[in-house]
Amino acid sequence: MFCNIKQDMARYYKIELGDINPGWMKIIRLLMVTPGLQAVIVYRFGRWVNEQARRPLTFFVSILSPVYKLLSYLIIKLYDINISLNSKIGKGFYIGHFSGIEVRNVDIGRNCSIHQHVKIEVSNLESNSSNNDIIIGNNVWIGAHAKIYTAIVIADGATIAAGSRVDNDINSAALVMGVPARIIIKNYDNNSLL
Amino acid sequence: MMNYHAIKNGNRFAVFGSLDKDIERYQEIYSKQKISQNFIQKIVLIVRYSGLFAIANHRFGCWILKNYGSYNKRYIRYLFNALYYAGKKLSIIWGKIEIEDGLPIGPGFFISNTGGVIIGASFIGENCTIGSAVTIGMGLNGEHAKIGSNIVVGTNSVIYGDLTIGDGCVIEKDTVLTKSTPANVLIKGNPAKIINKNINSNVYIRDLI
Repeated sequence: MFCNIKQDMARYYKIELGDINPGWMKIIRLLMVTPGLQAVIVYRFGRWVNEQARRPLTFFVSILSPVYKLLSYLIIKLYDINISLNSKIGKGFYIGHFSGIEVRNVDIGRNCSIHQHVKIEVSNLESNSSNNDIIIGNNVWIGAHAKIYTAIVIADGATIAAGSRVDNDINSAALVMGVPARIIIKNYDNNSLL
Repeated sequence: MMNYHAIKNGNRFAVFGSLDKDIERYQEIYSKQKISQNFIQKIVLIVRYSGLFAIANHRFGCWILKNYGSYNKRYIRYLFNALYYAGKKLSIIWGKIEIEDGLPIGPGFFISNTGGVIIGASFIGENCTIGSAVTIGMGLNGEHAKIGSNIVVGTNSVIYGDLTIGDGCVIEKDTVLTKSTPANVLIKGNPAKIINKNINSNVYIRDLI
């Protein structure tokens, strides 16, 4: 858990502070001010508590899982960021701003970033498997107000522009835009955005 | 975190006059009549509407920058900044509204109380109306948008990039706008297209917020 949180915080240092090794006062200020970082830390804590459930230390879980439920309820009410526990998110996840974020039933890779009012969800009533339906690769940048409502696969390095609704698979590191999303540039390099 | 456009332009709008006009617009939109308020009624309105609270807090921040912005007065500024950041956190939690620090906004600004609004422009003119779930953001290279006067922005719309919106424009719901627009046009769609020219933006306020 702490290794994942360290990688997440490293992305916040780079994007919000512009400084890879900030002092401890800046770190404390960042923890208090950014809602996205608080939401990601609560999510990592929840995944860690769930992992402990498979080991024989179940009394640990019975104490900590109400704590996680309270924290995630607070994050939903205060910031409107809703990351469900059955989504698997890789290291280095960045959430920009707050409000309107829904992330459910999705496997996200490393070093991705999402922004406000992004909705990535598939209703589970139609799918039979217990695996997650939406698969997103590494280094994907998802702009504000983007929506993904169908079970698709997004390749590594893709860029989803703001306001787009993605209905079909994205096979290359493309830049997609629009409702429904059309590929504008194949092989768009999004390292400067991440 | 500071908006350097604001510090260069010098925050030309007076704070308490602007806040009075904001309160008048809220009164006009929510109760459909113009009633002049005394001081206690104004405080009650600020505590009642979360959008108005966010705007009042932002005006307070601009007042701090204008009067106590220099290095000599930094201790008083730290005290006031503590209040300002507490107010900013409260407007994030209660109203879900975030306005960038020091952004110069003209008098008569309205934000819908449903919230979800994140504003990072470089200048906003007078009498603007913003619906809920609106993002006014930066372009891919960090440019800011410049927004004119008498503008109505519908809910769920996104405006970003290096663009200028002319006076009197109306942006319909669910549009994504990335290019500059002339004045007095109606814009709709994703990608955004001009639907109507020479419109009066006051007619569209009730439908779009």
